[in-house]
Amino acid sequence: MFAPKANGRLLRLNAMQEVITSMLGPSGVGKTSLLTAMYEQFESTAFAAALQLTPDEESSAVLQDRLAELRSLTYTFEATGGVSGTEAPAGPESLRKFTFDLGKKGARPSLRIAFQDYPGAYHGSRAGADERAFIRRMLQKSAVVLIPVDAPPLMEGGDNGALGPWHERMNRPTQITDHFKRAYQNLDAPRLVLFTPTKCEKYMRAEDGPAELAAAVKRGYPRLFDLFASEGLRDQVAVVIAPVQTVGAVVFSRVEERAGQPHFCFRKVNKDAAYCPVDSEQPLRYLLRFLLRMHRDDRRWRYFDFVRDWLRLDHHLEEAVRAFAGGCKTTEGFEIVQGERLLEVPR
Amino acid sequence: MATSARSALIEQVIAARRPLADRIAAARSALDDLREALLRLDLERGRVLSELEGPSAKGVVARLQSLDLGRLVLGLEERRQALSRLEARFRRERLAVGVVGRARQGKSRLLQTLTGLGAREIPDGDRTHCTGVRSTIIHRPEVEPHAEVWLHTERSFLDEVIAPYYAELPELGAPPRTLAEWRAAGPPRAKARLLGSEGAKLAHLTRAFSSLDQFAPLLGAASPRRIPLGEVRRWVAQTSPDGENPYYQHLAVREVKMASSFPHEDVARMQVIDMPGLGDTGVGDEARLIATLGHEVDAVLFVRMPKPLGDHWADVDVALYDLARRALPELPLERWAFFVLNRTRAGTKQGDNLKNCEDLRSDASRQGLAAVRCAIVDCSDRREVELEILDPLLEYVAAHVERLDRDYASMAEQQLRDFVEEARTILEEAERAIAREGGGDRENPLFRRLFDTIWEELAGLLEGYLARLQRRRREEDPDLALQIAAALDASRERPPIPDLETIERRRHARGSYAIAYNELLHEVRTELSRCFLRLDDGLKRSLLAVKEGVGEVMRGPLGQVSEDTGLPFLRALRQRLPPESPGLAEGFDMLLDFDLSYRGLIQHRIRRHLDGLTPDLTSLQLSTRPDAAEVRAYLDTLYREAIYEAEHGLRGLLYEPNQAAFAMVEEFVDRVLRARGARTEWDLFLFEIRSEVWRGEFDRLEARTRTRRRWEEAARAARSAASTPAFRFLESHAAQDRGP
Repeated sequence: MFAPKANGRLLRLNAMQEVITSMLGPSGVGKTSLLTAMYEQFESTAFAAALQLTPDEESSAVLQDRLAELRSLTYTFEATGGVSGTEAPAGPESLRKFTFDLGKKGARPSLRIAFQDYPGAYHGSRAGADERAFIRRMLQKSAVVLIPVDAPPLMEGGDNGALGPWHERMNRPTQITDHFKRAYQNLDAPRLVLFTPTKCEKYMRAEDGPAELAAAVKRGYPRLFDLFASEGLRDQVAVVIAPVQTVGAVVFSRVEERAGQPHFCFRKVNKDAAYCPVDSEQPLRYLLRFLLRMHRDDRRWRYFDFVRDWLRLDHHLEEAVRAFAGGCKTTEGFEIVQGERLLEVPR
Repeated sequence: MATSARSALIEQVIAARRPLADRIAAARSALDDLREALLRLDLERGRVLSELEGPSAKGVVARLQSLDLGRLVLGLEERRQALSRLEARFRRERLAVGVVGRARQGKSRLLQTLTGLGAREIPDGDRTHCTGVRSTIIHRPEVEPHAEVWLHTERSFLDEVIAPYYAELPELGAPPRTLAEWRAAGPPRAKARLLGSEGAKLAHLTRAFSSLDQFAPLLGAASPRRIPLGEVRRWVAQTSPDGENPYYQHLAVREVKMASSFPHEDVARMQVIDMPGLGDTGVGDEARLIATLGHEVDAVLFVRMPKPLGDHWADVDVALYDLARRALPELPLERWAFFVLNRTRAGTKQGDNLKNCEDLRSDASRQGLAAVRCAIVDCSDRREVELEILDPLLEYVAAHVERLDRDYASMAEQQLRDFVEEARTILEEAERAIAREGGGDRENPLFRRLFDTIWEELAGLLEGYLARLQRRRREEDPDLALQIAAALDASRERPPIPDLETIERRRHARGSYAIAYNELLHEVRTELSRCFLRLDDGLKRSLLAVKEGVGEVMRGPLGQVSEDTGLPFLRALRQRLPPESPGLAEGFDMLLDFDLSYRGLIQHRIRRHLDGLTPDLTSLQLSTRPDAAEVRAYLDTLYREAIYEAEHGLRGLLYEPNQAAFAMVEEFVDRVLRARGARTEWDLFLFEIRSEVWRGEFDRLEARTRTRRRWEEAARAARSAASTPAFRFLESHAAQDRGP
């Protein structure tokens, strides 16, 4: 009576189950840049010797383009607005999805990580019922949610610890909170929510800056943190703040008003500095750490049951993943806000 | 001392006197002002006394009447005369030596010997005694010898020559007011027969009366008259040299000044004054002697000729000495008096009096007749006179006149200051003479009712205003916001970033881009920092508006106290607070003095944001191969970043003025309303000014307050007239000497 289930599990594994990771943030906050940097930096870690992260063809092309754009940021000393935003597709069907296959080097990948992007309109106040329902469904299916936070609008323009005038408009914390409220009712399995501040080079370099950044993130999404800390979700949702410096050599300079619109200006730390992202692989480390914990947890979940079998057959792969995930930062702006238990990896 | 050096020294001292004379004149004129103010105060006292009524005024009337303003005015007059004497001394252009002696003591002979003139010009009293005409002989070798005759006017003749007789001889009745009146009254007649000196005085006066027709035409005639020395006798003597023809002109002469060349070579700018002899019946002489000694003389020679058959210092000698001492009380006579004992030799008609000269000399100090020097000299012997009198006198003057001047002046100043101090004390008392009606009937039901009402109103209004400020605490100050925006706009529109060419030039001048860059950072930062200085105005304006608000609120119930509005009203109120309300005064002072400044509040916050433009602190260091474009780009970026940072730093400040205003007013309200004893202090204060706060409710009091105000004003004016620094004429002299 167990066979069909075992077979089904095998079947699913062979079909290489996707770990869906939602990227919940309005356009312009730096989602694509984050993925690009994540991929780029992963490739340059020592783990690249053992682990292989392979984007699918379409994703690869986009990432290459974005990488070129990011590098070009450092060709001039000062820039406004960063890279061009991702165009918003017409409907749910045309949504962009980046997929990476993770596996042992030289072997067939054993896990597919899909990063699901939503165009900015989905977060707008005019988002239709269809779009909201789509996001709810996707969030329910996502083991991990990445919330990229555009750091300058979060940090700038506020007085005496209050938030500045641009955060709500550019990071849309209210809409994002509302999506979670709808999706995280009666949650049946653990989730990881990663707040990843981007364009945060200026703050990560300042004394006390990282701590202030982490504090600002909590101030910036107060109802969302409250929601995660509520009784029903407290034990189910791990919440991590993981700032990512997607370019490294470029820092926020100032906001200039042009024709009534704020323009965020960035500049290089000096003329000779080159593209060198910092900590951009950290979200991936947390992601794998969380999956590893789920894999070792002998429980069954509606959407993520497959992770129970993910590494069972390959001890070396598990060790490599474990070592990579062990490099999660927890200080200097990185913080496990809640759910540490869900990130513990037993030996 | 070499003779020429002596003269030079004396000249120098005389020249140095002039500036002090001006300051003494200023002090004298300040005394005139004070007298004016005292007289006005006296007048005001009369008015006040006529206005005060009722039993409650009894104390005030007594206090006002006991104010001895008359004594103050008299004392002032005394000081004024002393200053006149001092000023005359310091205005003098010549060293003046007065010669004093009773008739027939050899005074004229001494004068002749000193000046080289003869009996023609200086008649001696061999035949008839001298007249009362005062002669001054001036050493002026540079001009033709001549004389100037100064004639009396009718007025001065009557006042100075005739009136003193009437004062001395009351039996004659009132003095004549005009010449015509005198003439019409006929020869002076006493009601009783006058004997002795009084009889002689009357005879003297009668003689003058009977020769009225001879000299009267000269009174008021053009004066001075220049005459040759040969004619002097006609103007100063009673008779011609042979005693045959009587002269009358001398009665019309006030003074004769002769210019001649003294025989002694080194007498500096010297003049000798022949004092009218005493022991004569010329009544005016005494007063004139005192005036002359006090005003016009640096040294005085007392001439006395002992009788060969035995002589002693008589009462009349001591009296003469005392007279001279009174002339200049500020300077002890023994420091400027010289005795000349006129020695006669055997063979002259007086005979040898040397023994008696020596006796008198040794007896002088026993009689209290102290002098710089007591010389025994044959007054007709030029050599002896020069050796024993003139040289020692000039030596002494040269050595001591400066010190004498100083002692004299400081004594006069001290006396003046003592007087002024006393005047101030009396005037302070005067100012308080009409007591404020404190302590009176504060339990008066009318006042109690009025006070309770006004207190409630005042408290309600102030608390209401405070509540408004409390609500505004979280609002930005629009005025400051505008100022900040203006400062930022100005700095954005005119960035002080040099162009590439300028940067290149600077690099060439300094030798490296790094040095040029650091210099330019300093310059750009300084420019930016300057833009923010003008925020001071905004801060001050916001606080001022709140203070004005407090003033307006308090003016509601207390508007009758002053016609001012807003802040001046608060100041006026503060001015009126009595010493019994220290808590209120403290509250008012705190509010009035409260200040916000750019330096105190903003500067340190701005500076932080200028770090990027500070070479050692900036985050942008030049690359390894810099160029002008890089320097310019960095400067531009850092400048804009600094403005951006400063803008956000300043935004936090926009609440500060409102917060400070609230804190300031809350503190004020705490002190003047909520503090322990505040209500009692208001009670006392408002009771005192009740006639102003509640016009009409306290009619009698209102009138009295007006009277008191007027009186206090007059007393204050007098006190202020007594407080001028002009009275310290020596101090300012010293200060000026120290100056550049």
